[in-house]
Amino acid sequence: MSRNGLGPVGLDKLEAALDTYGADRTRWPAPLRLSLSGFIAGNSDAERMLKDAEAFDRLLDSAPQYDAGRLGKLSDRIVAAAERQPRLITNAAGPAKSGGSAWSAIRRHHGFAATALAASLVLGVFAGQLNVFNSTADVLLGGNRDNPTTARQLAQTDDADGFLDEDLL
Amino acid sequence: MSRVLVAATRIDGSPAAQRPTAENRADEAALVAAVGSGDGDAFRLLMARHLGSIVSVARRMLRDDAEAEDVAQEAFLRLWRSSGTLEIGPAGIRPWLRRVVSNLCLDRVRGQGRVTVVEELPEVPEPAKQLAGLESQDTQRRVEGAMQKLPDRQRLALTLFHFEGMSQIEIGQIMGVSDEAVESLLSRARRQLKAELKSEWESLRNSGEL
Repeated sequence: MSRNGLGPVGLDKLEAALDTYGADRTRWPAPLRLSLSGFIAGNSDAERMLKDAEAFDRLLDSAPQYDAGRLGKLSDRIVAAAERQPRLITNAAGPAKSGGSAWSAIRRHHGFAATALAASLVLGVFAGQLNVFNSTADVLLGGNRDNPTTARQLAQTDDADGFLDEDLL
Repeated sequence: MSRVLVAATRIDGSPAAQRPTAENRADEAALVAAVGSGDGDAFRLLMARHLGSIVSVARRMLRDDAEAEDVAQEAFLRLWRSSGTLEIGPAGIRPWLRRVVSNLCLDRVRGQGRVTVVEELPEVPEPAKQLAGLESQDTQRRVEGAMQKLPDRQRLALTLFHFEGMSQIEIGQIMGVSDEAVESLLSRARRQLKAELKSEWESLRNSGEL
C-alpha cells in the first residue's frame, strides 16, 4: 500500500496527498480520495490548504510550453526523415490500405533499381530478337548460304537462341 | 477515422490535457501494424495524435524547443523503423512512445557535453514594480528554472503526472519503478518546487488570483 494511503485522516494526510498529487482530486488514488473527502468538507483549514495547492498547481502551469505552431513543420520533417530511413517492410498487417502504401513504400525504396533492371532486360531481349529476325529474314529471303557473313549471322542466331532459352529457363 | 478526445477539466475550470479515448487506443494496434507494412497515412495519423504531447514532454525535460524536436523525431523514427515488431497493448502506442522519449531525454540530460543553463533564484524577490507582462514572463522563467533544478527522474515523474495527465501506474511502467517509487518522486519534486518557488507561490495566494 502506498505511503499516502496510510495513517489517520487529518491535515497531515491531506498535506501529504497535496504534496504528491496536487489539488486536482480526480488525480488522487480512489482510496485516498474517499478517505479524505469527508474530512475536507466543512473543514476550513483543509479547504484553505486545498486552495493553496490549487494556486501552486496554477503556478506550475505557467511554465513555458512548447510552441504548438511549430508542430506542422516538425511533422513534415519527421515524415521526410522517415522516407529516407531503411526499414523492414512486413506483411503482418495484411493488404495495404488505399493509396497502395505497402507497394508505394517498396517502390519508393527499391523503385529505381527495379526499373533499371527491368529496362535492361527489355533492351537485351529486344536486341536479341532483332538479331534473330534479321538473320532469319536473310535465310528465308534467299540469302547467299555461301556468304560467310550470313553463315556467321546464323551461328550467332543459334547462340542467341540458346542464351535466350537459358534465360527463359 | 475519427479522433475522439476526452476533454477533462481541472477543478479550477481550466482544461486538462486531452487524452485519447479507449476507442482511439484500441485502433492503434492496427495503425502500428499498418505502419509496419509501410503505410505512411497511418504513420501520419499516429503523429497527429501523439506528436504534440511527446514534444511537450521533451520540452519540459530538456528546456529547449530544438532539442525537444530532435528527441520527438527520433522517437517517431524508431516507431517507423520498428513498428513491424511492436506488440501494442490495450493502452495503445502512447506508453511505448512515452517510454522511448523519456529514455532519450534522460540520456540527453545525463550525457556528457550537454550544457544546462539554470538561473539562480534570488533569495529576496524583487519589488513588484514591473509591468504585468514582464512579471508573468519572469514568473515563467523562475518556474522553468526551478523545474530544471529538480533531479532528472523527479522532473520526469512530475512532467508525466502533472502536465501529461498520466496515472501513477503508467508512469511506473514507463520509468520502470514501483507505484510507491513514483509517489515518492512526485512528493519530493513538489516539495522542492514549493521551497524554490515560495515567494511566487505566496504572491499568487495573496494577490487573490485564485
